[in-house]
Amino acid sequence: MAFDTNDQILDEFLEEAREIFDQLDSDFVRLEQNPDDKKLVGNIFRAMHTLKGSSSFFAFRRLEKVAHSGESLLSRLRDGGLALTAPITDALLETADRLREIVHGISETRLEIEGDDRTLLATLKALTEGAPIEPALDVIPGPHTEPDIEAVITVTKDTVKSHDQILLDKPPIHATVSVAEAEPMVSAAETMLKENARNTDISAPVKVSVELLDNLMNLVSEMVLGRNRLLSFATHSGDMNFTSTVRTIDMITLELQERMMKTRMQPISQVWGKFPRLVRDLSQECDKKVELIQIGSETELDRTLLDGIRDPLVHIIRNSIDHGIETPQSRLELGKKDTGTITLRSMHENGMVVIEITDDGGGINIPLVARKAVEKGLVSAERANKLSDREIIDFIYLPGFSTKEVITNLSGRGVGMDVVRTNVQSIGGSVDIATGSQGTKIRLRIPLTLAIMPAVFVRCQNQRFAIPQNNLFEMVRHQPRDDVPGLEDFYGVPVFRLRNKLIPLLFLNRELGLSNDAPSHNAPLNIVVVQAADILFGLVVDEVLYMQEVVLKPVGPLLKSTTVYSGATILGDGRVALIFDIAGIAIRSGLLSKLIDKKFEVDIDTPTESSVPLQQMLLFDLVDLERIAIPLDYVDRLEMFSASRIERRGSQRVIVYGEHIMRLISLSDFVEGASEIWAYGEETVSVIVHYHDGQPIGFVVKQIHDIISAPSEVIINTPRQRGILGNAIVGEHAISFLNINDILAQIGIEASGEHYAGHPSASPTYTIPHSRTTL
Amino acid sequence: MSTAISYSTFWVGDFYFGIRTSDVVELTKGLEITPVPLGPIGIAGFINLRGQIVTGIDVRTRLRMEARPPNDKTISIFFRNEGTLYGLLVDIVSDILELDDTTFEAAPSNLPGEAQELITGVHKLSTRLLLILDPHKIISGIDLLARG
Repeated sequence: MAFDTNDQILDEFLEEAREIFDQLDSDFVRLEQNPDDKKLVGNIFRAMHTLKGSSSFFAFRRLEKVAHSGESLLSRLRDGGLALTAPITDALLETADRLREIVHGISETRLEIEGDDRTLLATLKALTEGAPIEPALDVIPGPHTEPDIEAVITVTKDTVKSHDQILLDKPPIHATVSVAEAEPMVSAAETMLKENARNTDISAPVKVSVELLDNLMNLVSEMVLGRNRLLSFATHSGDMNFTSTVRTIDMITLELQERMMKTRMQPISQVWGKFPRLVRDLSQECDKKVELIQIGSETELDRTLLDGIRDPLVHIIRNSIDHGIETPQSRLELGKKDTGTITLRSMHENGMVVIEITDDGGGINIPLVARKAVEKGLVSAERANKLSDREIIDFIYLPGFSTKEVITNLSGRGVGMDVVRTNVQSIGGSVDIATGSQGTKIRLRIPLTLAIMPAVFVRCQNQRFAIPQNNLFEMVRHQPRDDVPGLEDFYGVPVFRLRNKLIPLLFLNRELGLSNDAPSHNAPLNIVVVQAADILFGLVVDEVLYMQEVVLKPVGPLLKSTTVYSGATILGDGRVALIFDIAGIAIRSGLLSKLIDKKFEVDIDTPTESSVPLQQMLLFDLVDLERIAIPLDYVDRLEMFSASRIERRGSQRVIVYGEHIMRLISLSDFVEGASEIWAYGEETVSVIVHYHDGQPIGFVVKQIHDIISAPSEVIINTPRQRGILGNAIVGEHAISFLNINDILAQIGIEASGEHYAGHPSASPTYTIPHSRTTL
Repeated sequence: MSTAISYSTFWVGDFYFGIRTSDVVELTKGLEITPVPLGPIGIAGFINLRGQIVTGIDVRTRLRMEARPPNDKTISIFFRNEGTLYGLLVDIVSDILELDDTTFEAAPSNLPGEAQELITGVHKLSTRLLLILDPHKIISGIDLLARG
């Protein structure tokens, strides 16, 4: 057949068809809400027509037939000959589904699959003619063995006739369409395109292959590395022309890099587009009234992540409609509107995409969940009574857990929330649930892109490795002392105590086969506590180096069988560093199976609430180094200055600030791992103003986030990262604490006797005695 | 009459090897190699070739020769196999030779097992033997050797 040689054209057709279906779904649902919207009917009509035109080009007869019948019905709606009724909507939706099914078949087999469309075609025809739907089912009588071809002829003839009638009704508009139909299909499609173009008036996007984009991305990364080398030449060169050229290249490279990253980003509406239809269908099935509100559908995230959140969102919406939202009657009894609302909201927050799914239903039935958990033997009845609501909610994540008595088409199989959490975690995200009698809010936090992720670098022997931050739980320097027990043995597994919890340990050098050395009995241990597959364990490393954003690079097929790595990245010095797959390490070491066999009960005690005092800190970013915290006590004002106001005085940068001349200190000069902010040609700079003896000093940073409450205990990095005192975990992120006193001392300002009080334990305390905050 | 085939030749230890020049993408010297602990035998590590991470194949361990860690004189011969770039780590790169099959002979049967598979044949040159390597077999054989 013709399309055998036209694989590429067929692929384009399939792609186009899929886009049309997505559009159709949301258009249909909108149409149901605004039945009189002629423009919407027109859109749907055109979509159907385009599909028909293309399918006859490929000689997909079945597709053409169904699309044609649907189109006929739509054209009557468009002309106002028919009013939209529920049976018509259902028939149109069924048409769209049938078309989708046929197209899906084509994309699998490259051939049109066979099927019986007679009932649907008859229904469409009957509706087009304005007849009630029931008799229509008998229009084509006879046994099912009747040859399909006969039905084809009947229906085609009829629909053509009805189409002619419409043409007579409104000749001027339809003249163009019918002429186009008579011509070869290619030109028909062209006419449609023109018509579409007139209606939408948007310049058509160009389709570019993902491979090409990835290649471009690679080239840009290379260019960034080349630029970095060039910059180091420029700083040593006295040639002004050369340095200014380098500056230009530098700025263009940065711009290019940012734009390139954007090409991977796609709006979340790509996934959400299908949801209005889903909500409509599900709520009908459950006899509930549900309205879907979408806020922030333009929020962008990496296209690979979009695929990852589709299933979780479907499961959550399904749960909301089936479990959450009450029937209209009980809603009215509860004093709520009879129509329930599901709100999808997405936004960027702290370099993550947050997606909130809120419903105004009855919330999670916590006593029911607890009862089910006891019934399933997951927890003893008396323990269940002691559990907090939060701990009880955790049960719904377990595979096979369902509160539904009866398994329905919608839910009750107990896979929902398990899938949600597994999928979201696999793309480095997290799930939070808040629930009450007024509704449930589920909050997904997804990284912006998988390609770039924060990681902590560790040293083992003479090699550097990266641990993804989403596996990171805590970093500890473990020094056995009189009051701190050293390593203990628990059924053959070395463990150490972390605040009343027993944490099993793995020695990275042994796990990697790099050496077999065991640490001496009293030697301090650098332990990175990581989490994988719901267990916490400690990796003993030689050194914790620094945190950095890494670009995940593909490593080729040969490492597939080596499960301990998830990929590799290229460091600033051009060397390759491997990125661990923490779950892979846990599985390979046998730790996982040991823990399961021995019924390893990690809790010695219920962990008590943290008694570590919190302090207020300001969170900011430097170039290439994110989430750095400075005690709020050192922050007097926050300012944005236009770069043109900055003047140079010798090697210093200053700015006129009120009655003072303020020195500007680029913090990146003092913090290891951060890049020079001046190199980036920013138009405005963010400055943290600190007054010292009445004199303002401005610390230049890349971006200021917000004020957080951070624990005043930090984990010291070894070796010390210059300019950074240590790290702490706040929420789900590691933050770095700026060593502000050290920096002040370096710029010739004594911190007037204020020192960070050194704590005798392995985790020194970060306390700042004075306070004078005027934000 | 047969047409001549161009071979890029190189030394690993005392052995003189050649691969088809048409398979070779480029040669680079002194690239830093990041070893892969627990990686499959025969993989020397990863090489950063202008922003692309390339798997470096250690010809010595791949052929079960005496291992010697790569040094700054090690040369990487990059070639493409099924769309992916690989680097062969060799000691010394020698000439490009145009050879036809008059000097060609199948691999001697007394080669050790590993070499038997990877060496497609031998060109008898006037002064020495040139062992012809099949780069694709070098890659395809590696998965099975994973240390996992």
